[in-house]
Amino acid sequence: MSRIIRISLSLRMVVACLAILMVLVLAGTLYQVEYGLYAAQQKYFYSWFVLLFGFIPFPGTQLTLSVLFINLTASMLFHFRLGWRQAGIVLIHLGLMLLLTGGWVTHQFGEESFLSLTEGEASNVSSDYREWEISVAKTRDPDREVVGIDLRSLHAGTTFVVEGTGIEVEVEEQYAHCRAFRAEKEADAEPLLNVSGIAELKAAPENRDPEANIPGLVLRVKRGGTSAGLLLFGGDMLETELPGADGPCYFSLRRKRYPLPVSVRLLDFERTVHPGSSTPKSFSSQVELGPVEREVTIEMNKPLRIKGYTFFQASFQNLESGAELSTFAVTRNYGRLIPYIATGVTVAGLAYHFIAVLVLAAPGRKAAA
Amino acid sequence: MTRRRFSRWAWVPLGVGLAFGAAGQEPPVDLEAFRRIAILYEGRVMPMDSYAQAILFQFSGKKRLGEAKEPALSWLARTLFTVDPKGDDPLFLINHPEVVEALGIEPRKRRRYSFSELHNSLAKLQELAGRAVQMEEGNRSHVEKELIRVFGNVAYFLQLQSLFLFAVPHADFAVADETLRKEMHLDGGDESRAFIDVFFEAGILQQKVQALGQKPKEEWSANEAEAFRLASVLFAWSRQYRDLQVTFMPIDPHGESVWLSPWDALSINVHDPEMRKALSDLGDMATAYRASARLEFDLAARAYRAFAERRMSNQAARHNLGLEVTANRLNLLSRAGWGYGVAFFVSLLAFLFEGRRLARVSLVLVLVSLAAHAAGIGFRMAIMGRPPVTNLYATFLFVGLICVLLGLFLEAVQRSGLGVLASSFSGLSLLLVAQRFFVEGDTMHQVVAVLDSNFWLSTHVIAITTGYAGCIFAGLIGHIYLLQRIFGPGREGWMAATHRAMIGALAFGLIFSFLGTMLGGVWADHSWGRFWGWDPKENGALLIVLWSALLFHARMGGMISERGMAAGCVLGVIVVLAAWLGVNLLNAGLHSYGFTTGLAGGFFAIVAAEVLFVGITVPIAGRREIKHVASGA
Amino acid sequence: MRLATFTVEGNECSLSALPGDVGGHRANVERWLGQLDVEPVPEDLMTGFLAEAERVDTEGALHGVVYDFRRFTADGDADATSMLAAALEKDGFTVFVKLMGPRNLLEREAAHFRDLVLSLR
Repeated sequence: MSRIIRISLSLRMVVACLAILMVLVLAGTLYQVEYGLYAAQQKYFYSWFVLLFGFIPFPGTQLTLSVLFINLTASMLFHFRLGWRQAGIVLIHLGLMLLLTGGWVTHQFGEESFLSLTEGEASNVSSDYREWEISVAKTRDPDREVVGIDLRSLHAGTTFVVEGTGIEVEVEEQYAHCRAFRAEKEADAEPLLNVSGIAELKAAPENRDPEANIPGLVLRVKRGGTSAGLLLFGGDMLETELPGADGPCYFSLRRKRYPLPVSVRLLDFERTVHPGSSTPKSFSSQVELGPVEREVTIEMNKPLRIKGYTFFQASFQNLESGAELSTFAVTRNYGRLIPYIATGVTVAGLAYHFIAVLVLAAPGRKAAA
Repeated sequence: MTRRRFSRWAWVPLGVGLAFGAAGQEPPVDLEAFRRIAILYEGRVMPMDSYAQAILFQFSGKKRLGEAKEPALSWLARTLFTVDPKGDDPLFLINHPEVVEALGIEPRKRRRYSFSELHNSLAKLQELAGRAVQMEEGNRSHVEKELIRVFGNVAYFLQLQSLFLFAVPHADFAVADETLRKEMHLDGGDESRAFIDVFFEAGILQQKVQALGQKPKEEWSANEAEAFRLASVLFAWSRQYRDLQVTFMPIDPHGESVWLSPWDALSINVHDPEMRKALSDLGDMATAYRASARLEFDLAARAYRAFAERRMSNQAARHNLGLEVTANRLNLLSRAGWGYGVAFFVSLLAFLFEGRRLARVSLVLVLVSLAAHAAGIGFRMAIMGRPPVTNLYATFLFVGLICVLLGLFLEAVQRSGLGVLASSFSGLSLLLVAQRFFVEGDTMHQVVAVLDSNFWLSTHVIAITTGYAGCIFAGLIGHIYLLQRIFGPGREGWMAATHRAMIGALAFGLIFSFLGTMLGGVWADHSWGRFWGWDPKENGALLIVLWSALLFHARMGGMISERGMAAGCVLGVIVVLAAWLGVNLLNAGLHSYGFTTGLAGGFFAIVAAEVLFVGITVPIAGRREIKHVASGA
Repeated sequence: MRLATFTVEGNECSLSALPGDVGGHRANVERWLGQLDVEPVPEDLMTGFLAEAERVDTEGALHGVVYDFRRFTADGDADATSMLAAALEKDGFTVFVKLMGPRNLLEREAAHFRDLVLSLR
C-alpha cells in the first residue's frame, strides 16, 4: 500500500514539476522579448528561485530539474521493474536522466568564446563574450607573458599585487559600462595615466546584451615608492604605459582571454550569396593552423573540431577600411556527446514502448499508453 | 470509377473559375510561350508565370487582379509591353489607413489603389518613405514600415514599365537627316524610332562624333550634328535605365550565373550576334503584343526562350521551368483543399446518419485529395531540390499531410468513419490556413545560409512537424470525444474507440515532438556549438513535450479522468500553435498589418474558442455521464 | 575664391574666380561630370561635347565656353540633376559660373544663365 502511495506521490511530483517548468519556459520566453536572451536565461533558466511578477516566489529551472532528477533516480531504484513490458519506460527515463546530466555538465564546465581575425591575422587566444580582465605585461612584443586579473574578482576598494612585478594596485572606481571623457577637470587635479588621454569615466546604463557593455576602471598603483593614478577604459585601442625604475609595465583592459590549443591564421574569407539577391548562401574561412601549418576550411554548418575545442564560422563584418573580419565561435564542452547518447536512448525507449503497447493490445485497437 | 468521381467534382470549381475568367480581360495574344520564359527573382530562377503571381501578390495581396479576376501573367504582359498600361487597375494594397490619409488619397473600401490614384502623391510618398528609411529599423512604426513597403512596390512597378522601352518608338530617336539614315541602314523617313534600332547602328555614330573633336561647332554639318545628338541621347537613355532590378537575361560568362535586365545586356554585349538577335526578339514581342499580332508574338517569344534556355548554365533550373509551369497549371494544392472540403461534408453526413455508401464515397474523396496533396508537395520538392519543409507555408502543407495519413490509419484500424472525418477536416483546415495566411509572394524562395544543411533540415524539421501533426490530430479527436460524450452517451464502444485513438495520436505526437526537439538540439550543437539555448523556437517545442508528458503522467496518477485527458488534448492545440507560430507572433506584435493581418488576432481567437469549448463541454459531459450511470446502472 | 552666390528655388548658382587656367577645359568638364555622378563618358561623346559647346565673349571681354550638361540626361527624366556651367578667361584668371539643379529648373533658367554669363566684366 505504501508503495502505491509512494508511486502516486512521485507522479504528483512529476506533474507538478512539469507544470512548473511550463510556467518558467513561458515566462522566460516572454521576458526575453524585452530584456534579451541573456537576462532571461539568468533570471528564469539558470536560477534556483525566481520572483514571478516581481513578488511571487517561485522555483527556478535549476531547482525544478534537480527535483525531477531525484524523482527519476528514485523511480529507477524503487519503481520500475526490468522486464519486457517496462523496458521501454525504463529506457525513456534513463535517457532523460542522461540528458539532464549532460545539461548540467555543459552548464558547469562548458566554455564559450569567440575569435575575430582579419585576413592575414593570426592568434592563439580567444576572447570571452562578456567577461573582461586587466592585462599587465612587461613588454610589447607579440610573444610575451601576460598577467590577467579577472574583473569579476574586483570592486571599488579591492587591493591586490600584480604577480611578478610587485606593483600594488587599489581599485578606486569600477564601472560595468561607462563612457569616457577628455579633460574638463580643474588644473590642480592630478592627471590620470591613460593612453587615449581620457580623464574621466561616467557610468552608463548597462545594455540588455552584456556583450555590448564596455567597462572602465580607475586604479591607484604604487610602484617602487611612487604612486600614480591609472585609468583603463575597455575602448582603449592601445596599452597604457606605467613607467618604473626597472622598466615600464603595460596595462590594458580587455576581454578575458582563453588560450587555444592551436594558433589560427585567417588566410581568406569568402561569402557567397544566392545569385541576384542578398540572401547569403554560405560563409567560409580558409585558415592555417599552427604550429603544424595545416590548412583547413571552416564554414557554416562545417565546424573545425580539434583537441576538445570546436571552431564554428559564426559571422563576419566588412570593416571601414575595406577589410573583412571573420568571427569564429569557439566552444569547449566536455559533455558534448552526452545529449547525443541520451537522445538515442530515450527515443529507442519511446519507440519500443509505443510499439510494444500497440502489439500487446488486442489487434485492431489503439491501446492507451 | 474513382478517377471519374474526382474529375466530376474537380470540374465544378474549374468551371466556375473559367466562367469568371471568360468574363474578364482577354489578352491580345496567346501568352503560352511567354509563360515559360525564365527570370531570376530573389535568388531563384522561375518561370514568368510564377514571377507574375509573386509580384502581383506582393503588390496587391491577391493572385488575380481586380473584379475581372485577371490572371497575373496577363497583367504582367500588359504592364511590360504596353506603353501606357491601364493605370486604373486596383493594384497597390495599402493596409494602413493613416498612410492613405498622409498621401491625400480617397480611401477605398478594398484598400487597393491604382497607379493613377497614387500618381499625384508620388513625390510625397517618396519624401515620406525616404524619411522613414532614415530611421532605425527598431524605431519604425507600422505606418513607416507600410510607407517603405508601398514606395518600394511603386518604384518596382515603374521599373517594370520601363523594361521594354528600348523597343518602343520615341521622338528622341527620330533620325531627321536622310544621309544619316542611309549610313545607318534605316528604312523609312523621319518618324520616331525605338532605342534599339538606333543603338544597333551606334558604331557609325561613334565614328562620326570622334572626328568632330577637331571641328568647331559652326562647321558641323546637319548630318554630323544629328549624329552627335543621337549619340548623346543614347548615352543619356542607357544611363537612365541602368541597373534595373528586373533581370531575366542569362549571360553566364565563364559558367557563373549572371542575370541582367535587357538594358544592361544591351550595353554590355552589343557585339554578340546571338545577343542582338535575342534583344530584337524581345523588342518584337513587345511590338507584336501592342499590335495584337498573335503569330509574330508567338514566334518572337519562342525564339527568345530558346536563346535563354541555351544560355542558362544551370541545367537543373532549366529543367524545373517546365515542371513549375505544370505545377502552377495543375494547381494541385488548391484542388486538394476543395476535395477535402467536399469529403468532409460527405463524411459528416455519413458519420451522423451511419450511411455506408456515403462513408465509402468520402473515403475515396479523401484518398484522391491526398494524392493531389502529396503530388503538390512532391512538385515543390522536385523544383526546389530540397526536403519537403523549408518555410512556414510548407509546414502547414506537411502537417496537413501527416494528419490526413493519421486519419486514414485510424480508419484502417477502427473502420468507423471517424478516421475519414478527421482526415478530411484536418486536410481542409490546414490547407485553407496555409493559403490564407502564409503565402507571401514566392512560396519557394531560397533558403537562408544558416538553414542550408539538407540532412539536419530533413530530419529535425520533419520530426517536429510530424509531432505537431500528432498533437493537433489528438486535439481534433479530443473535440470529437467530448461532443460524443454530450450527444451520444450509451454508445460505450464508440467513445472508448475514440478515446483510444486520441491517446494513440497524442503518444505519436509526443514521440515525434521529443525526437524533433532533440534533433534540433543536435543540429544546433553541430552548427553553432550549443545543444540548448532556451530560445523561443526551442522553448516552444519543449512546451509541447512537457504538456503531453504532463497529460500522460496525470492520467497515470489518476489525477485526471478521460474527459480531462480529452480537454488536455484540446488545449494542447493551443500549445502547438504557440510553438508553431510563436516566433512570428512575438516579432510581429499584436497589431501587425500586412499579409499576416490578423495572425495574432486569429491566434487569440482560436485560444478563446478552445478554452470556451473545453469550459462548456467538459462540465456538460460530466453531467451526462452521471445521468447515464444513474439511469443505466 | 567665391565671388557671389545666387539662389534659384533652393538651388545654388555660384560665381568664383581662380588664378591660372585651373587644369584646362577638359579637366574641368570631367570634374563637373563627376559632380553630376555621370559615369565615364565614351571618348567620342566627350570630344563631340567639347566641340559642340558654345563659345562666348562677354561684355567685359572675357572669353570662354558655356557647357550645357543637360545633354547627358534623357528628356523623360525631368527631375534628374544636371548642370549649366561656364568657364571664362581673362588676364590670367579663370572665372567659373555654375548652376546645378533639376532639369526642369535648368529649362526655365537657361536664358537667364546665359544673360548672366554674357554680362560679366
